[in-house]
Amino acid sequence: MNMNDRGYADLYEIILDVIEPRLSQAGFDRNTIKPETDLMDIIDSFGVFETLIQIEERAGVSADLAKMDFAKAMTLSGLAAEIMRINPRE
Amino acid sequence: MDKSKNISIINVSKLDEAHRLSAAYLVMEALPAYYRIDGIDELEMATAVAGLIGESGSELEKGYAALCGDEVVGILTFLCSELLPPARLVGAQALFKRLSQDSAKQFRNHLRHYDAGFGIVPDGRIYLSRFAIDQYFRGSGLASQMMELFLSLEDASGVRRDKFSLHVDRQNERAIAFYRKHGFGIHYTGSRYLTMVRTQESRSIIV
Repeated sequence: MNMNDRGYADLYEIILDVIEPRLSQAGFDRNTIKPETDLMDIIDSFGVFETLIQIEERAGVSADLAKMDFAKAMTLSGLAAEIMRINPRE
Repeated sequence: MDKSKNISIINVSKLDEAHRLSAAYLVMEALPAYYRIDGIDELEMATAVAGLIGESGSELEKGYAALCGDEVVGILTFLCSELLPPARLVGAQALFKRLSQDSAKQFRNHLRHYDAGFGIVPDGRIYLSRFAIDQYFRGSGLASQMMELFLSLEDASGVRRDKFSLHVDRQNERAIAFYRKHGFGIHYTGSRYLTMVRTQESRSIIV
């Protein structure tokens, strides 16, 4: 399955899957975490690096930060939106 | 012999491919805990780092290189401190993608356990991201020459020119003394690095 088969909601769930092991450590719960939560409140910068690699592997999309708006990409919903933007549906 | 006699200092964006590779070795020397990784060939890492020198969005985009013939004997790169988080991530991603599959795996594993130990970086400063001088040219005055060039940066990004910051290894007493001589004072003590900042006040004290 590639980006053309996925929507925003699927991608958002994948992001949650990837960061889930870190959520409880940071005091968050998957079921109640807000989409506007800052990624850096959950993981450090190299944790973001690892997260982006895992998103690429699991979703088959590019998560190239150089192509994203960094400020927008640093929330859960913003990251999903930015990945959607740089991987346009054909 | 005057070691600095045949040296020219240029913008890193003007470096050709061979000089970028030479500069990459100095960049790696500036931060060995990050770049020198078991299982990754030094030349492969240097080649990957060379590709980031002068590249938009990376920590190595802006700066100066001191050339002596075919060799780069000094490197100094900088960026606005607010750009450091994205630049660090963009740089890590770019390195990851430039390395071979096996090396990329090693690099990824390395970063899982990497503790930069940098601590805080104050906002609104020009941040010295990498600074290294070839061993042979240490004590020649080249480091001070490059530092003065850095400190004379025009205010091109809305950052006051008298506000600079950097990290230095807590164990590197020689470097700490050098930065103190150039008006830097300790702002924060991290687990491995000191954050040093330069202010108008500290500049006025050093007379």
